[in-house]
Amino acid sequence: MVEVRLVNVTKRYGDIVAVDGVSVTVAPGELFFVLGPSGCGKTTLLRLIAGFIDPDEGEIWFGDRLMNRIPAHRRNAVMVFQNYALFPHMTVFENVAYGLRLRGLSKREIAERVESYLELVRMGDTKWRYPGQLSGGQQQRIALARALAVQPDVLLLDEPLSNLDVQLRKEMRQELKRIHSQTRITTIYVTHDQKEALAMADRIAVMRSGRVVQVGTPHELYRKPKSRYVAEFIGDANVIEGVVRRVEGGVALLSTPFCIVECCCDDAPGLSEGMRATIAIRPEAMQVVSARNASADSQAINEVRAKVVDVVYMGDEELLELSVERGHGKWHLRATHTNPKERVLIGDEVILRFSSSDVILIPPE
Amino acid sequence: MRSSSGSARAMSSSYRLSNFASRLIHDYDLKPDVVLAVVALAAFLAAFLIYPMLYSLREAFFSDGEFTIDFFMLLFRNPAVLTCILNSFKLATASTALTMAVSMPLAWAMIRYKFPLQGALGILLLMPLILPPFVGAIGMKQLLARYGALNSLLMSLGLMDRAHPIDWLEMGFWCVVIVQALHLYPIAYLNLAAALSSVDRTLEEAAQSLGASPMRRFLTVTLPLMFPGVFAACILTFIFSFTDLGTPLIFLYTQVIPVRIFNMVETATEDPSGYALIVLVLAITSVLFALSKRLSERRQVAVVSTSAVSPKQLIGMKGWFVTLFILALCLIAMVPHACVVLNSFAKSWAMSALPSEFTLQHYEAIVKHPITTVSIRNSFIYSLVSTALDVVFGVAIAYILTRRRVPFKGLLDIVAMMPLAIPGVVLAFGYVGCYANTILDPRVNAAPLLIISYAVRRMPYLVRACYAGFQQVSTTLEEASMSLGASPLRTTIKVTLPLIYAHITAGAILTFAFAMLEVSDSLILALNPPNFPMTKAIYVLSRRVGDGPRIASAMGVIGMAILALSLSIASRTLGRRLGELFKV
Repeated sequence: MVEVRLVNVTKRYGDIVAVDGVSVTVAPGELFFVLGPSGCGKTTLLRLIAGFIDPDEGEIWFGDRLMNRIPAHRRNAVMVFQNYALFPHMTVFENVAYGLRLRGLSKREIAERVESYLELVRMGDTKWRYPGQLSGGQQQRIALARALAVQPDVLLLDEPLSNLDVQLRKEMRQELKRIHSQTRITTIYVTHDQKEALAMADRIAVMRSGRVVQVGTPHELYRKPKSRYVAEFIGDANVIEGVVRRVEGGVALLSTPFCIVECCCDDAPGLSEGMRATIAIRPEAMQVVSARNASADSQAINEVRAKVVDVVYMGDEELLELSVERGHGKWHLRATHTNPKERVLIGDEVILRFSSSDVILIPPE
Repeated sequence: MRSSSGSARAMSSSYRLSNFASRLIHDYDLKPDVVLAVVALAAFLAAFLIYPMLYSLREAFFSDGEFTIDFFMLLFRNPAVLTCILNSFKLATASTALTMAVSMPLAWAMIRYKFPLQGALGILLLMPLILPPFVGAIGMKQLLARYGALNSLLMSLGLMDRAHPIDWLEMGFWCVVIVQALHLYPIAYLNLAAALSSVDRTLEEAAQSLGASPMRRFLTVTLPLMFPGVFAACILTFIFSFTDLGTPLIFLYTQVIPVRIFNMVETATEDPSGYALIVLVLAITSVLFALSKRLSERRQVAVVSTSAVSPKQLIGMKGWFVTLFILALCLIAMVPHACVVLNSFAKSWAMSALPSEFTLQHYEAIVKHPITTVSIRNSFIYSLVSTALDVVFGVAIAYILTRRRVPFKGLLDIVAMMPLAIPGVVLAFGYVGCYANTILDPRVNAAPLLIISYAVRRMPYLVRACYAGFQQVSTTLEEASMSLGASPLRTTIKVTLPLIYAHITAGAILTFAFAMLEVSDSLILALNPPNFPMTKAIYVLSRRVGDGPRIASAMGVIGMAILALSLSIASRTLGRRLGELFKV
């Protein structure tokens, strides 16, 4: 188990800064995710760690070894590629044995190790087949076995599940988690799929145009996003601008265009009266109540009257698109109505309620 | 004052230099092995590709150190030369037109329809490719002579007056056109088929649903989309015909540029107007080649998506009609070479449709005759050595182009592909001139220059084959290997080369086969019998009265057998992908 530490790593391609001063420490044995939209530099970051490219600035450390300028084949950081990159001219056995042969293991050791790692990924019976004869999911497992068999210091996964169908992807998530908990290899996993990241990661680094904007556990990122970008990229969020009216005993009152919002402000010590503030409320934090059974006025706290614009019925939940009109302004909100018993129809008036602990206060940027 | 500004300038220039040096180190991977390889390649190409061209240019434009266009004026004032230029253009145009007329329906039938025996016909169609037109011409001559096989057949059928046979060979022009077209249509067909199959069928369907008739769809959608491929095929055919030396020479259709160049070799060192003619040919072929390259680069744009529309099944008579049509074409294309085979076994063959008596004496003559056995041995040696050279250069160049960052990469690419645009007659003529009176003088020993000329002219094929191979091997495979701990060299040996092995082998076999039957370089450079390769021996023998043409035919049969053997090995290693090697 090895710690991976990036210090101020920068990589430029001409005028484009692909990776911009990234500093991140991945703990030994951690399953660490790098999450971001395509083009945010996450794959470049992974390739920098793998050693396929060298940073223009900054340092990459594996434990106490500085890896800058050390070529990929001497890093013992093995990459699993999006398209698996299995050698088509070698059998499954030869593919998995490839890295072992390079490490000078005896024939018997190689055979045993290949066997045990194929067992680990549950592909023991495909040894003598060629990659071309395997399905995508099977190739994925072989690629993983090939990487794990050399017992690397660092395992690098580049969108490993993106070429699989939905069902297989869910299955492989569980598999990868199981294998990681069995091997405990420091793993860096790049993906654009936030669900994958939330479901699997010990910690996640969210990237945006070359920079890491926030690092944290899935829970931290979801409950306490430090920027509007993170709030909207991980999960869904209703982002509302408001003005602080009162701060008292860890609770802040904000006025927004359509209601008064009460929220916790323990994490925002600098907050004071008269400041502008941004809050975010998750759609699933909105409790949807039919307006017939309740009344709401504009001075109510954490309560909004809104009109249903669109409904997507999913069985276990309903996704509601809502609009709120106040004077000349019009705002859009989203709410998730879980376990719906009565259908909400387009044009209905509903009341949205949310608890003050569900209001996310986003620090000013 | 002056000295300080001078030193400032010196400083700024040295600064710029060091800046340049640091950029070189930073932007490129200049490892010693790569630098060495690039320098070696550059030296070879400079000596045997660039220098002969520059030499020809200098000889054509400079007289006693002064620039002049007199030699060109001399050329254009000479009516014999003008006739040659005009004839060459006519010949190439006619050959191209005939080739296209044959190959377009072929491509359409093979790509768009399914019919009986299609697979077998697909292979049979490519046969003429391995039948050298130069050898075919000898057979054709036998067939079309005044008292040859065709006339005899027509006479015995009562279709021709015995007293007034038609002399087909009088029409040398058309003989050359037919032999060339029969040789070239497979290449054109492969290019057209590739262009046609890359046309997105859904675009045609879109046109159809908008109400366009089949002909209109073809003219407004299909043809424009495949135009770059069509154009490339035309240019390829045109350049081949325009610079073909062997076929016109055998048919004695001598008023064309390549033959004229051939006849000027003897006086190459004295008469500079030969170089002017060379430069003219080079200019024409270069322009055409550049044009087709520019167009083919745009080809990718045409491909929107590959659709799953399958070819239409032709049922009943319709299908068999297409089959018969293509079969007939294949058979016609093989007639010249069939004549060569018959001729090689014929004791005498005149006044009859088929030889009246068969014999093996011409093959015995080959064994006994000093020129023939030596020439077969020579051809083997030259071809093997030049193929080995090409494999080394091809792999090295393709590797550097696809995998390394080196300065002047674009230039290396252009130079390595240049031989495609340089006709054999031009290169060989340049060699004769610029290496006269050196240790490489072909008049003393032609072997080194023959080997080099074969290697240089076929290098693009190997570079391209290897380049395609390297490109197909996804770099992630190499990265996977390296991240598993393999060094770059080991990665190349263990992963990359095994994956492109088929490409290299096929490229090498083709290079070898074409070197065995290389005509123009061989005819021009091999000046002494001890250095004769097979083709030169065939040419010399075919001009000898008596049984000369028959012995030449027997030699031709041996050459074709070697070629067929090489290609069958190549197709076994490459399978269906063999066709890819002939595409532009």
